[in-house]
Amino acid sequence: MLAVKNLRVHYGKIEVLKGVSLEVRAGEIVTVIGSNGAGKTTLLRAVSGLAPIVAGEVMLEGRPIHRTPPHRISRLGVAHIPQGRQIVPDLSVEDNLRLGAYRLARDRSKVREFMAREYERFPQLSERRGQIAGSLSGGEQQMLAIARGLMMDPRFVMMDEPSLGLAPKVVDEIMTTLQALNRQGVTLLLVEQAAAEALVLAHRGYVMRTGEVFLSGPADELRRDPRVIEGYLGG
Amino acid sequence: MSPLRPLVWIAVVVVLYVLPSALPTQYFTLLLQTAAYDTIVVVGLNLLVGFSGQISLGHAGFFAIGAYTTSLLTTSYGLSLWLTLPAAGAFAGAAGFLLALPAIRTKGLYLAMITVGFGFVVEILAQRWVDLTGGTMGIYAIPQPFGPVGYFYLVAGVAVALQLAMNHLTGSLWGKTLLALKGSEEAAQSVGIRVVRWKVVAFGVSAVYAGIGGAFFGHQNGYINSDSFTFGASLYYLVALVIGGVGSNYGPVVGTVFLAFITHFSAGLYEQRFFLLGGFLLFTLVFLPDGIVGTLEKWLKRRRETRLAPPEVEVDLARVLAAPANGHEGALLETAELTKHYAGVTAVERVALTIEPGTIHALIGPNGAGKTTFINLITGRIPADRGRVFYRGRHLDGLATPDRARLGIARTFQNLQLFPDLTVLENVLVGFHRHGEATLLEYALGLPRARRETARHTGQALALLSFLGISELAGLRATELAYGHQKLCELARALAVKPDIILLDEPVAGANRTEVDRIVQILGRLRAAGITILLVEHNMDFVMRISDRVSVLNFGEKIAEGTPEEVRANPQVIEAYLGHWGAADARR
Repeated sequence: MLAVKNLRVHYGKIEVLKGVSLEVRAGEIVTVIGSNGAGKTTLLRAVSGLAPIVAGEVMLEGRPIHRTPPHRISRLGVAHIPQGRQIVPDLSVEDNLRLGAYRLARDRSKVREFMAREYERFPQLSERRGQIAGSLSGGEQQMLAIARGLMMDPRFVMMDEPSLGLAPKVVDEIMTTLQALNRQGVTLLLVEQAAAEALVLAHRGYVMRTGEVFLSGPADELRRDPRVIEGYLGG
Repeated sequence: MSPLRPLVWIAVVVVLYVLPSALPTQYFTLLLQTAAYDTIVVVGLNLLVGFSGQISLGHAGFFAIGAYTTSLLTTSYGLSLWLTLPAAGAFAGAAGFLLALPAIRTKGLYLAMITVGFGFVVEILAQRWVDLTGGTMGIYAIPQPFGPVGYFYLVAGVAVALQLAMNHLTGSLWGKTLLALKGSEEAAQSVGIRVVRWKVVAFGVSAVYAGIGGAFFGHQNGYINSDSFTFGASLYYLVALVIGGVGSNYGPVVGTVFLAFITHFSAGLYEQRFFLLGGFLLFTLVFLPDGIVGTLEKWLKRRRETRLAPPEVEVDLARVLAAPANGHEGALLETAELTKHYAGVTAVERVALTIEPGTIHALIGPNGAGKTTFINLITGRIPADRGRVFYRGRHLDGLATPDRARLGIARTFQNLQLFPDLTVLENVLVGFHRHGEATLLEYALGLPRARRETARHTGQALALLSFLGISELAGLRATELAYGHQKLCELARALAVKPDIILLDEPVAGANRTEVDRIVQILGRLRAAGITILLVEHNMDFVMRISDRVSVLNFGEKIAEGTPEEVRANPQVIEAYLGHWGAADARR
């Protein structure tokens, strides 16, 4: 599905990604874990066309997209659910979802269909459809962010730290939802700091540290590998 | 100073002397008078807009106060011009001061609206307070001394003197301090600059200039009424400044003279004058965003930019960094029950932390754990909901950031906050703020104490830069440096505070391995020099290598503390970072 080769990204004068390569095969859940500041978010942003790529390539289903503008990338069936939810706090839950289906605006029946599907996936959102999004709890806001991303009916979803700032029980709910989503055939690239949760969910994982991939392998192996902890806490 | 400087000024005087007779009619002499006193106003406005980074759309109000002051004092009390001119400046300055005291806490658009309102208030007072101002009938028979040419010499002479004083002021450390707070208020506060006070003073000085300009207007016309001081006049000054060049010393005079003559030659197009004015403004904004003079300066500077030679001094770090003795024993910094909530989200929850003097203490934790909030609570950038910060045994309640900096708490920023208008050296010089003693007047007049202080701090600043290995970059603009050098420049600025404790927010973020090694070395030497360090950092290898003690925050609470080895082995820390392995397993 996605192949990233030797990706380098600079923010101004700072080298944030120092040559990162990774691969996500169709139907997989792949997780990129690592401590904050490792460059995980930048990696997702670069794939989405939101971060300036200095060198390297990004291939989506064999086609290069590292020179494609962000709005075109999203049309290729890629959803990027950003860190910190980024929902529109002054709009209702329903309007936030409608924004997610922006491209389908003419096709009202499709919008209705997808919206019903998301309400089914997240019953809590259905109960609050008229409520202002800013008044939702952190977990509900994260669900809304995910639902909004899915309104474009993507085949490939990139998610940035859905567990951020959430209580363990809520994290658990969200992880379960992601697993269900994957079983419906959606490929997932999950960036997480919470390695334990992410490695349970994922098939394979990459551990990043200061702009580089430090370790990678099947999730089961990584879970037993003490070097993962080193990647976070030094060693 | 360039040896040509005196010659240039002699040439200026000669030109000003010859000008009135060189131009064909007396009408031009009046035009020159107008340009000269408008220049005074715009020079003052430049201090406000170009240096302190504020805006005024009400300078016609100060201009009016100056005009009425001198008009009333000369006509009703028969006072001499030599007394009423300074009085005009003083009254306008006082008005500026009083307006700024409450208004300066607002910024940008809001400040602009307040000054617009002020301008209208003055205009309406001039119109309605008939007993004092004569309303629309105005004040007649204001003395018009010296004849047209003589009066031009007076106005031009004062304008030159005020320009020189302003050059002195803006070129001195005082002016750099204003540029600093324009660039980053937060960083300015972090080195002890009481930002509000400085802005109020800048506003006052700017109003003095406008008042003096207004006084000259009164004596030029011999008659004033409320129609002369409209919002349009305030705008005119701002346009002149923008066209000439905001923030450049000679932008005001160039812009004003330019506009004066444009206005003259387009007198036949009176109806279209706003259209013309707008056209010139637009042209400048689009094609010469730095104004006429600003663009020229940039162009000249690019051609003669030089690097300073590094000073040949062996750095005695301990002497440069020697902070005032304090005599307190025990923990340097302590927090008790420190708590901060944002809209229901816990950022920092009852954190108790003790930092021993002369140690490097690291604060780590996952994203959103409250580390930066904690630093901001210590520096006083945000107020705590509950709990206290103790520094050398005394609590810091009620002290704002500059006050805390003055006690010796310095910091660097996660997203660099260098002063973009200043050079590397000047950035560091401003850091010495809390150690300065000379007053504004001493700086404006270039008195010995101000000069000695600047020389002393320059020497120390160069020593700091050479300690950090960037002294050869001292003459460059801070924003031109490579990222790693910018970080070092910020560190130098914080060290100029001569702090007891320095708070470093991600000192090695974005640094490569060599740079990290260098910073490890530098921090080690600072510790040896007796400086205490609290750092927030994500690069764990760095943290573990350098820290004496590590505290871990998660969801705002302190969950662990100890030596690097203890913390690294602590299961709670591992769980905070990597999640709960047991719970995750259970879900499978």
